[in-house]
Amino acid sequence: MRFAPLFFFFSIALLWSCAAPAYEVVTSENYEEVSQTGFERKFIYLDETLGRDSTRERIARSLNKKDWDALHMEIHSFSREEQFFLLALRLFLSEQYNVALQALDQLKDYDFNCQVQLLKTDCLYHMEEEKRVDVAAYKKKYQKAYDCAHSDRIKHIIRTRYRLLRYGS
Amino acid sequence: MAHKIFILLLSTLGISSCLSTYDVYHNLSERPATISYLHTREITNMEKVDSVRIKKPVITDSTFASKGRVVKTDFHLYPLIVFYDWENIHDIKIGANFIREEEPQFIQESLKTEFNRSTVIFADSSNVSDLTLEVQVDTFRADGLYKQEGSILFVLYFIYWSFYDRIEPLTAHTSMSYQLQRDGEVLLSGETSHQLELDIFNIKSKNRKELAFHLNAVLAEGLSESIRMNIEDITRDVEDYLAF
Repeated sequence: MRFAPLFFFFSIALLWSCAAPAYEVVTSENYEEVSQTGFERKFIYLDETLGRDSTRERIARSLNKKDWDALHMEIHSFSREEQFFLLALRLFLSEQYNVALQALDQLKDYDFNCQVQLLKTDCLYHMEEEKRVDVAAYKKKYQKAYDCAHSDRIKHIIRTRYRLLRYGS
Repeated sequence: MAHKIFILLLSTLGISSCLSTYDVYHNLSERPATISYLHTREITNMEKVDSVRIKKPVITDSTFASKGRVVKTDFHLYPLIVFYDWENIHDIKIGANFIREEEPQFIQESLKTEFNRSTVIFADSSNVSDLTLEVQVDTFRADGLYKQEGSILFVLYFIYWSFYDRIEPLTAHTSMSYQLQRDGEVLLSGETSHQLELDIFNIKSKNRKELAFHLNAVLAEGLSESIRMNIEDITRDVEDYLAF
């Protein structure tokens, strides 16, 4: 009986660790594999323009694990825009949407395969207090990002975002 | 004592089975889902060569009602003293109150957007053009099954139970007929139809209420996908006729 609280906290910890993250950073190398497993998720895509394969994978891993020290070790050699983008991702994944939006405002909407536009929309969505958001308003923003994107993969990511919005996620 | 539990369980299951139809309907109509979709055809930068007036479409499908339909099609209960098993199946049909938008207006707007984005035809709902496009929606439906299953097992002082709600494969079907007219003369007419078997979106539902909303969202999404395909067909046909 005295182990009951321990058992309870262990169960909660187990459930917490099983919960899939809302957003997942993927690279061109693992996108196909990751996107076909588990429940539908919202992806952030690091494409080939962002560093070498191994660097990109390390960045994706540190963003997913929220290992900010490891992230900062990697990004010092990147350009100003790339640093802003990765900083915005860090803030976004830390759920600091207001500050993430300010960092994204330093970039052009079409940068990083139009994901700046997409992430700005995501930030605005998460900053809504009312959970039953105006889908029509967000549809326009996702449509803008969709029209901006040239990569089929990014278009698919945007379509899934909009689908999840329809499903209230 | 045992027979009291037996009667209590039986009556609880009986009452909840009667209430479940109302419950499912209530959950579906409480949060109407959107049929708006992302336009997927490329935007054209070519100059517009003609203009057309889009009239507000008419939905003639008599099976599409102002209220969605939830009908219990099957219910069974096996009360075997220490083991209870039941299944409750509802047939769901989408209605206007399950949808967020006003359907004819939505189709009209979607047609205008599709013409103006992706074709060389300018579309509007005012009388600026002598060309008129009339669209009639002959089929407008989305339906599927919602299953609730459960079982309870008594072993000595322990109770094991499992409850499971799921959505069975769903279908959406819209068909449209259209006429392009100039001063009352029919220049072009045609029909288009798209029926889809809907994929159940792989998403976690926290509770029954959310599952019902997801079910509604699947139905609405299926409708919107078939509307999108029909609209793309119509705009292509009209563009081919007028521009090439």
